[in-house]
Order: sequence, then C-alpha cells, then structure tokens
Amino acid sequence: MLDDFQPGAMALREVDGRAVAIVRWGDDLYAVSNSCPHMGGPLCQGHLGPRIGSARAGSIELDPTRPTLSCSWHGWEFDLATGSALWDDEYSVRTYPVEVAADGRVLLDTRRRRRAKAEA
Amino acid sequence: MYDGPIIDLDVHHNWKSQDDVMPYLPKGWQDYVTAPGPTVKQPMSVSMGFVNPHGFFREEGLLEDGSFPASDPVEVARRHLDASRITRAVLTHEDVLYLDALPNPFFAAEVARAANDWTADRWLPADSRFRASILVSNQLPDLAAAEIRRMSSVDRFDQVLMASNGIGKPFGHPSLDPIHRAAAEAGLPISFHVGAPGGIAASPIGFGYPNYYVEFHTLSCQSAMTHLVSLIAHGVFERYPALKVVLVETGSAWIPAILWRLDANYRARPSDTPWLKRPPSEYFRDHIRATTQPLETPEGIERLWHLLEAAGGEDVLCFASDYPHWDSDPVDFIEESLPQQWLPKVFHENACEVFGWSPDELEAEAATARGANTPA
Amino acid sequence: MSAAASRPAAAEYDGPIVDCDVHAEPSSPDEILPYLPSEWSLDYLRQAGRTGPAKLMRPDAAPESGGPAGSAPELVHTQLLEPLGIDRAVLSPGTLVYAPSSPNPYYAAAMARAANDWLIDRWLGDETPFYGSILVANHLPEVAAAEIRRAGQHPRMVCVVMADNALGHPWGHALFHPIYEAAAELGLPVAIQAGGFGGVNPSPTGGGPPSLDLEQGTLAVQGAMNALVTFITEGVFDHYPSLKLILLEGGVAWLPGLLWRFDASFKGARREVPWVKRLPSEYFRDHVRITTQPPEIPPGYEHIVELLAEVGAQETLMFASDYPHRSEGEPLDIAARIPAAWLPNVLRGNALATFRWPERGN
Repeated sequence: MLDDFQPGAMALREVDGRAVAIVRWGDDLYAVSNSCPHMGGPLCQGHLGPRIGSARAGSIELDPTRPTLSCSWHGWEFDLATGSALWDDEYSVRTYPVEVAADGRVLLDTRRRRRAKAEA
Repeated sequence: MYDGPIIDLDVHHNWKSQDDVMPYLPKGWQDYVTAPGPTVKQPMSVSMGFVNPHGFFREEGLLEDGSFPASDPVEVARRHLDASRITRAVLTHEDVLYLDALPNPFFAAEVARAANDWTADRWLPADSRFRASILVSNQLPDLAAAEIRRMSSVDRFDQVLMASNGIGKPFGHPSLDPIHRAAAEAGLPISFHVGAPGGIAASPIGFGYPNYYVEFHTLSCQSAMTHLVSLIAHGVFERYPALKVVLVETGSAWIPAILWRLDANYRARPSDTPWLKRPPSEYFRDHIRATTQPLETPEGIERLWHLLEAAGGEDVLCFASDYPHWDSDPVDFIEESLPQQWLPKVFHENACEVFGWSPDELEAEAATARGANTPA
Repeated sequence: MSAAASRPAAAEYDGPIVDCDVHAEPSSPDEILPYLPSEWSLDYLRQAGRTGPAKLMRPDAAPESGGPAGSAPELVHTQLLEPLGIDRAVLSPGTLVYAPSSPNPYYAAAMARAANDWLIDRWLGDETPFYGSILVANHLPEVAAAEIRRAGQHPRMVCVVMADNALGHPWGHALFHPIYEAAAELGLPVAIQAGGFGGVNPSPTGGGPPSLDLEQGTLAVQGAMNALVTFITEGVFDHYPSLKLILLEGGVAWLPGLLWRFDASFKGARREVPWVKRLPSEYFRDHVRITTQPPEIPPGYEHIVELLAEVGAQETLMFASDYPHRSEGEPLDIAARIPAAWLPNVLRGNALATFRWPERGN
C-alpha cells in the first residue's frame, strides 16, 4: 500500500527474485534495481534528494521535481524517473514501472522498464 | 580465484575521537590540548577545507554505535581482514595521518609519538595480522628522525609513514635527509601516502590550492610525482642504497610519462646531477613501488596493463585496499582487473621484498588462515 | 626535393606543416627598449638576465653575427621552415614570455605589452610565415583583458599565451576569467606554456617546489594537468563555449591516465560542481589541444599511442618543434610514432581549426 512507503525514503523489497529499491517521492513512486551498475553497490542505502543542477559556475539549484538517487559507494547519481546517470544519458540503472492500483496496492512490473516521464 | 597470501599496505585505522590518543601525550601537552576551555580543544588533525561531497566512508563502514569505521580493531579484523583474506595489514591512520599540516611543529611531533604509542598499545595486540607504521611529522626532520629511532626497535613497526608536506620541500630534498638516514639505518621502508591540503601543508597540486574536492582528487597524483622525481634527482638512493619507498594511494598511470621525461632530461644534461650514476628510471625500478589503489580504470582494463608495463608492470605494484574509504579497491576488484600472472607479485611478493618479509612465512600464515576459515 | 623525401619521418604526408610553438628571441636585450615606456627602462635593465628556466638551445641557432638562438628570422627559415616544409609558425616572444614572472604587476603588464609590440614589428610582416601569440600578465586580469583586446586587433596575432601564474590559483579559477572572456570574444585560443617558475609564481608542483633543473623540467607536466582539469571544473568552457585551451610543452603521455581518473572522480563528485554538464573527457575533446613536444612516446611504447587514440589524440594533438630548444632526436620524430592517418590533422588540420588565422577573421 502506498502508505507503507515513507515519503522521501527508500525501501528494499524483493520482487520476482530481484532486489528492488522502491522510492516514494511526494506521492510518486519509483523503483530501481538495488544494484548500482558501476560495481553493484546497494542503492537503497544511498542518498535520495532533489536533482542538483546549476545555471552557471558558482550557483547550485535544487529541482525537487526530479528526484535523484546517489550510490553510497562512489556517489554516482541516477535520475529516478529515467534511471540515467546525470552525466550520461546512455548509462543507467534498471528502472521498473510502479503503479498504485485502485485498491491502493503498490504494483511493480518487473518485465518492463519504466517509461520516462515526458520532460517539461 | 587467487588464494595466496595478501598483504594490504593501506588500512586506515582510526580513533573514536582524539581523546583516545590524549593519555599518550606528556602531561604538559595534554594541558596544551585542553587549556582553551570546555568547549574547544587544540585539534590534533587539520581539516582539508572541504569534504568529499558524498562523504569519505561507505555507509556499511559505520559501527553500530555510530563511531567511525575502522575505529575498532576487532571490527577491522572481522569486516576486512577476515572477509578479504588479508594475511598482513599495514595500519596507516586516518585523521592524524595529516599531522604534518599542524602549524605547531613541536605539538605535531608529540602527536606523532602519542599516535604511535596508542597504535602499539591498542591495535597490535588485537590481531597478529596488524602491522604498524612509525608515523612522523616532517615539520622538523630531526624530531621525525628521533621518533624513527625510538620506534624502530618496537616489534611489528615495519615502515615509516608520512603524508602531508609540512616542510614545504619535496620529500627528496636534502632538508629531509635526517628522515631518509634514520629509516635507512633502521632498515625500514618509507611510505609516502597522498597528502591533503589544509593547515600549513604545501598544496598537493601545483599552481595554488585546489578549490574543490574533485580538483584535489583528480590531481592528487601530483605530490607523489614531485616526491618521486625529487628522491631520484637529489640522489637519495645513491646515499642510501638499501632504502625503499612506497607511494601510497597516488595511482600509477602517470608513472611512465614521468620516467620518460626524467630519463630524457637527464640525458640532455647529466652534469647537472653528477651524483647520479645511472639513468633515473633505474632508480625507480630498484627503489620505488606504488600501491594499486586507486586503480585508474579505463573501459577495457587491458589498456591499463600496457601502460603499467612501461613503468615495470607487475614488479611495481603492491596491493592496498584503502579500507574503509569510499574509493577503496577490494581484493576481488584487483583480482579481476590485473593479469592473473601478476597477482602473486602484486598481492604479496613485491611487498615482501620491500619489507624484508619471508614469502614462506606469509604462505604459512595464509595457509593457517585458510584452514581456520574452512567450515568443518 | 619533395617534402616527403626531405622529411622521412613524415613520409606519408606531403603537405605543408603548421608549427605551433616557435620561440622568437630579441637580438639583444636593448631591442625591447623602444617598445617599453621610458619609466620602466631602468627596471628592465636591472632585471635583464632573468630569463626563466634554463633550456638547451640548438647550438647552430645563434646567428654568427651575434645574438641569441632564435633571434634571426633567416635562420628560422633555413633551419626549421624549409627543411620541414612548414608554411605557418606560431611565435611566442622567446624568453620575454617569462617577463610576467615579475611580482610588480605594473612592470609585468608593461613588459607584456612591449613584447607584443616588438613581436608584431619585428616578425609578423604580411608576407612572412610568422604568426604571433599575445603575451599577457595575469596579475591584474582586467588589464590583461584590455591588452588582449588591443593587441588582438592585429590579424596575425592568433592566440593568447601565458607562462607565469601571478594569482596563485589554479589556471581555471574565476579570477582569471576576464582574460578568458576577452580571448573568447576575439576568437583567440588561450595557450598556457609549461615552465612558469619562480618570481611571483606559486609552486608549480604539488608537494613543494623543485630545486633542480632536472626536477623542474620533468615536473612541468603538472601545470598542464592543472590547466586541463581546472578549466573544466571551474566552468570556463561553459562560460565561454567557443574558447579553446592549448597546452604547450606539457607533454602527452600522462593524458590517458589523467582523463580516466578525471572522469571517475567527476562521476562521484559531480554534485560539487554541477555546472559541469558533461564528462570531463568530452570537454577535453572539444576544447583542449596539446602540442607534441616533448612527445613522451619513445620507440617501443607504441601502446601509449593506442591509449592516446582512445582519448581523441587524433583531433587534439598539434605539431610543435619548440625551436630553437634542443631535444633528443629530430622535431618531426613524432610523425614516425603516430599512425599515418593522423598526420594531416596533427601536422596541420588541428592547428588550422584552432588558431585565429587572418583568413578566418574575428
């Protein structure tokens, strides 16, 4: 159920034999493979936060609409919606579509990849 | 899978706080530390001025009571030595490693003594696989030399250790001669660990201080590069033919370029350094080693092998984990990253040569440990 | 004799060559005086003889009529341009390039300006194969920017050059940015020459400064590494997307290892410098050029060439002789150690695309 997941937190679940990190950000849910594509670090122990961007050298801006997960081992950052590393669209962690069903259960489909949200 | 002995040249053992080391300071210096009052003390370590943006330690390193990773010898033995099949681990300190950045040179020397006594008292008895470093402060080389002489007869203190540069001259400069001599006379190698900025330390990079952690981390090979060149150029290995040096946590991909430049520049004007009897790169091969961590890893790791071959390849590298830091290279990562035929040298034979350890003894210790770990 | 026959090392390329690093020297110390405001002439004469790091010169490059190596254009023709088939040579003002090592910011600026006027007057004639580098003193970056805008009016000034670091900060630091802004505005690449040392410079090396020539020459790579890394981390190429950085005399073989490390460090520390939008190795390909002297690719180390290929050496290396400095072998030996397919780019094409040649306009 949605309420089983704390906003702003990550939870480790096993789904179909896979370790999956489920992230609730506001009322949105994301799911990624728990294993960092770099060297297998446990992503659910990483750092969750808004995307850190910058308009120009010396300025740091936070974008809370695009949550980012960084691995606790080497700090590599991944966009939760697309799974892509922030410095290379082609390098990514596996994402899974997550839905909240009409009865409130949280459903994960491990056969498909999440479709990235349309960019604003 | 490699199942021979493994020597780890860089395990950062830590205090829970600097209070751990206080009892080992003389009373007068204890008072110096606590005199500023109840809320502030004289620091025994110096901040770099910035922190790794995602922290220095992996999450799983923190102990259950929340204290620093590697601040409990039993946990280090269990979580690292046992888990990684380490036969011998050289302890290399954490915060206090950079005491050469402390402005007060006498205090720095006292902190070094206290840290060495604390290591002897609290760490070496905890596990026979631990080996210790004689930590010294280089602000006043004569005091460092005295500490080397004091600790050299203590069992299992097997190397001299320095990191930051508190004297402002590269480590081969003749002002460091008291340290070279004391180490050579004691038959001990010297490990130069990558130095940090902060305090009075010379910048670890050329042309000013790094502004960001990423600049420091990327360019951190530069001080090792400088020390390597200065040790050779000033003829330290002619003066002390038995001395060996290990460059710790500085990478190795830059070494071939520097050796080529050294040899080419030397050939252009050998009369500038008449005390050198051989090409500079030969002194490197005979006297200097580098730890594997951090292994520069291109895609297609074989390309790194080719580059390292230009520096002496399997004869140059010594395994080091850098436990418990975020960018540590575990044993299995090194096993997968280097040619299989290099592993015996990298994992123990090269270090045995540096430290004067017997490979047979190491084999016996490793075999005992394997026997102990095998499930009944 | 065909170009191919006269330069066997580059036998597979028979076009003209661009030399990106030639040192033009005043014939005598007094030659600069007419270009220097009179209030500075006494300081100059006191400091004459402070010529920067010692370098070996080709013994035959000093004209018999007197004058130091590199002071006679006709010898540059007969010893360098003609035998190697070079049709364009980018000059820096010889040992004057180190005049900005003076701690006096006003004197340093005056000397840089005088060096530029001298170079234009003595060397950069219309029908010559010579092009120039604008020397600036970076003690006062706005003054340096003004000098770039002034001397950059001359069509044969094709880049900016600096060797000394008077700000005590890494080369990419924000304090330098007015200089890079002016250069970018005029379409001029910025060249940083390895070897700045002493005087106002901070230590050019991490871990303490060198004391012997052997140390100093070997460790000159560090300034080049510093510029490459900090131009990227400080967002110079994001502020000035058209700007290119040229690393002179910093060597080449350290490049693959540094880029591997830089990419890896950046991936973990990106949040500290979020204005860096792409991998550092990508910025390198687009914005940084490296001259081939000293090549650090001795015979037998061909695998270093493979590694260089992977990081984009074919598009980023540019031939330089460093004339009249003497080094082992012949200036064109590099051509025999890189793939023949690279030669059109390394010997000419990359330089044509990098410097602001007169035909390209401002």
